[in-house]
Amino acid sequence: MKSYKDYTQLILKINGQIRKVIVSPNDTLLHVLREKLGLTGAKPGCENGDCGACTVLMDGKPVKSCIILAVEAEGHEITTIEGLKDTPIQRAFVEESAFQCGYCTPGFIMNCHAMLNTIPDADYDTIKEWLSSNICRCTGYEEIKKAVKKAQKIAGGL
Amino acid sequence: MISFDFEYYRPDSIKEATDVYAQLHEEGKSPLYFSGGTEVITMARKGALKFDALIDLKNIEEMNVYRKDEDGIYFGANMTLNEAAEMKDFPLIREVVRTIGDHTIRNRITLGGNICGRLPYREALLPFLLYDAQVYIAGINGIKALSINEAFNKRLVLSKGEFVIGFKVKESFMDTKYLNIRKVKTSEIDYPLLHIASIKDEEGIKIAVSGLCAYPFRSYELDKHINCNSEPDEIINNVYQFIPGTIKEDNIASAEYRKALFELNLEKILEKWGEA
Repeated sequence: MKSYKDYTQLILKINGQIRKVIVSPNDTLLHVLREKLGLTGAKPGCENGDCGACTVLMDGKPVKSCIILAVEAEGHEITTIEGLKDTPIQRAFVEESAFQCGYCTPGFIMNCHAMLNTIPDADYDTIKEWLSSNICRCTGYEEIKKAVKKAQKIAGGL
Repeated sequence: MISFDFEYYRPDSIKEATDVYAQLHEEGKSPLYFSGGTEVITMARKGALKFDALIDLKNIEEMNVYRKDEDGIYFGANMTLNEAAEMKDFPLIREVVRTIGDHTIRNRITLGGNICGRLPYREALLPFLLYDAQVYIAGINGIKALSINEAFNKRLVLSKGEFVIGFKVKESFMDTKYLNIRKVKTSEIDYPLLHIASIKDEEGIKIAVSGLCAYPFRSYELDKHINCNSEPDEIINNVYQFIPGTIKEDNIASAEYRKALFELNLEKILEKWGEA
């Protein structure tokens, strides 16, 4: 049985790299990513699991890193926005200007990326279901929708 | 980040989990079982929940499986709501769990966590109440199986050190027709003002309700009442004596509004089953 009673070294696999970090059991994954590993792409928003700004992938599935303990991430593959390079959804976001202030963008991109990997030909209802997990306070949803459609074309899903 | 310190344990078996719980309890600590963690972490961060140790149940194999047994289909309590939604055997379960939270959060919320949680809604419970599922509960003395309708009284009644490992539903319910109505105030991703799930089998119409009271419920007396041969108007007029709690009133909706919504949708359900 694994146990963590105090500050301990944790080995995490993040963006394909093994990272060693000293954590306490009460550290959230978001906190460790940003404050201890310098991966500031995932954003603190509501820190309540509502807004999706902190979305990262755990074993390819989108999760909200503000409501996951860092110790829970042990043994899983974590992907942050820093781990994506020139993916179809990133290109589509740029081409469609699918961001305004940009604060929600990493979360949206991670969620879209996971969706396109899982269901390349996602229909409108599926896209709506997945992306309802993220909030854009600039309300730039129309451009985000266009970016998803474009990314599907770029990736060959549609 | 959570503002208080605690210990974290990740047992690999039921026995390890119950043993560590007992040991921590003996040491005077307050341990808490933990799976998806969405509610625990949120409440702990807000200071609404305190504990000295978390016992993470995610490595316990019996809690992570979905399997067909001779006497029914078993859902491990650690199945996430998205995993449960992918199982197509029970369309009502699929439909109900897909309305809880948002898609991303459903990658973490577990069946067991939703049903045993502290929020008043616990919507994943509704189909299991209607199907009179067996709930498997582990404790220091081993595993027991109970009817979920016996084990649930405003909340799943668990003794100190016990936790839910899974649920079993009879295969015969797979083809049972159902109706599912969920009403929210604005966004689809919101807690329900009212959620009524209903099935009709050889015993008649059964309903389970969330959002109306401070806890979800299924009432045998209510089922009996709605299956009497009275006119729908009469059934609805006399329905509140069979509701096992006061009608919820909060900043989302008044009790009067919830009652009106309930009456309207109960009428719809009675009409639809009448047509069927």
